[in-house]
Amino acid sequence: MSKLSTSKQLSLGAFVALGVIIAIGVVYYLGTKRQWFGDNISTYTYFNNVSGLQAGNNIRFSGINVGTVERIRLASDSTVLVEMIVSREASGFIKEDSRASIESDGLMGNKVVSISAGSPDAPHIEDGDTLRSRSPASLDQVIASFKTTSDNANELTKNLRDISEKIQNSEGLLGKLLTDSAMAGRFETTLESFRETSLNTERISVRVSGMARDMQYGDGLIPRLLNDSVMAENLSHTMDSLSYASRNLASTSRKLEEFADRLNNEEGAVNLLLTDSIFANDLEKTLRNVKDGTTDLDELVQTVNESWLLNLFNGDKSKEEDKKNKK
Amino acid sequence: MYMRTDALPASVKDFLVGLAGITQFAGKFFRNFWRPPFEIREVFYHAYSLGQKSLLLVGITGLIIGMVMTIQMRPTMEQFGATSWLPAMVSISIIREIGPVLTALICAGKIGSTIGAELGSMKVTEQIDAMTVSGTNPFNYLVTTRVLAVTIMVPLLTIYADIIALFGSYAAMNLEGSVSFKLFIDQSLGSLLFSDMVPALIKSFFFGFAIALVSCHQGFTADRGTSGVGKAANTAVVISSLFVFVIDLLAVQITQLIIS
Repeated sequence: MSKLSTSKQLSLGAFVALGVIIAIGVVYYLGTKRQWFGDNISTYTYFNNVSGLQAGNNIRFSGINVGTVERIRLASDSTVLVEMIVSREASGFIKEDSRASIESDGLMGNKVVSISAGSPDAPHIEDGDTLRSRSPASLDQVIASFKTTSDNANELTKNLRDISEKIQNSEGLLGKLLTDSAMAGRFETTLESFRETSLNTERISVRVSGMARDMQYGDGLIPRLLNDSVMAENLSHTMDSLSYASRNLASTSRKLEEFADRLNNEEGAVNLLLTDSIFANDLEKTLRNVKDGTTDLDELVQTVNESWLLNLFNGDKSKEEDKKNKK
Repeated sequence: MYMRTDALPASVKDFLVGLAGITQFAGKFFRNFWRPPFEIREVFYHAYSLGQKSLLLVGITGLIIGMVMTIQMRPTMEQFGATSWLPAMVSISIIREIGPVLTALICAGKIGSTIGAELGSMKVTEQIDAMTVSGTNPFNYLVTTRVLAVTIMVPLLTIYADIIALFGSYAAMNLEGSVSFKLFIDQSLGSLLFSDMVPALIKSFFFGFAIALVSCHQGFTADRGTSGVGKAANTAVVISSLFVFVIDLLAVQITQLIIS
């Protein structure tokens, strides 16, 4: 019978123990990665199409692996139930209105279930809750989208080809511009006119700018009106006075109008003068008498002026006034 | 109804006879396995001499394979811009397939030849017959203990080989780039599944069992004469290596069936 020495037995024991510990360590590590040994909760979601998702794929929340897909099974003819194991620590941050979606881990990577962040005020999920899902874009949809893009690009290329052919054949404005020298010359002249117009516009704008500056900071009436508060107040008073005067004028005109109405009225003096011949004759007589009276009065005044009694007091002065009148 | 064996080529007949002999030998092992005396000390001895003493060879092979795989894969992965997937690819390759098979082949060469030569020389020198005459059960003492020891030690050697190969891969990763140890471990072990590790470990038990059983059978059935020892050792290595690949093929198919 072969017998091992104690040192060899120790060595063999260490060899076996270390191998077993490594095996257990790796198993535990993988189990931790798969959330087998931690404090976890189960949560569910439904998809119409899981796009190749498998049990064991990762669950990601904010880009961090927080669990794994536990089981996938058909719930109905068009719905797939996905059971997920999520660590309880992470579940405190996953809200009830968070949404689960299926994404690819890189271009050629595994599928992952990505859980979006919910609203901050919503309560977090509990064990057995069901999350809402967002359907993944299927490969068919992506291909259809690519096909549409490809068709559009095809159409675009065809249009570009037509345009380039027309240009090549001197069709259209651009084609003539490129090939017709006369047209090109006219176009150049037009451009020159445009250039001059723009220069003029620039000069005008400079002058307008200067005027605006003068109006703002100059010494004229408008800058003073704009900037001088005393003058503005005076102007305001003037305007008030004008307003008052215009009101008075309106009142006066109204009264004149009433007066005119009364003159035109049948009872008025003018109307009586125009329509009543007796009154008119009487008035004519009166006026004639007044005229005669005035003539008599003038003669009387002349007589008085020439009387010696008055000349006695005003003799020198009257002579000087006569001289002045003669000059 | 008897089958006509005259028409069969000699090599086919030898193969079929040898297969039948190994099957009978396996049946005899399972019958004797439950019968006392249980030679525990002998199991420990063989575990040490056959198993632990192979660690250096297995370790060096694993280290080199880990490094070589990483260096060889890197240019191709770089072409796809997937260098970050290198640790995951290497670890899956090593733990699923290369680690167990390579360890089994190393053990088939080293342990198989040792067992074949030992038992063959005992057979040639009639020590086995002497044990029978002296009342000791030679099968329990010589075969059961070796088969049990190798069946236990090959999976352990596989675990060591895997770990050392991953270290080799980490070293090779840092030859041309810079990857932290934590990141490497996270990427290499993080991509592993139990379906990668457990079937590989289970099949390595079968590898150990097959290597020891075939080698013991070749030693037990060695021809008389000095050439019989060499032939037994040689045949033990060849057939046990062949068995390793056959079991690997079966294991892959069964694993796929179970996983899917």
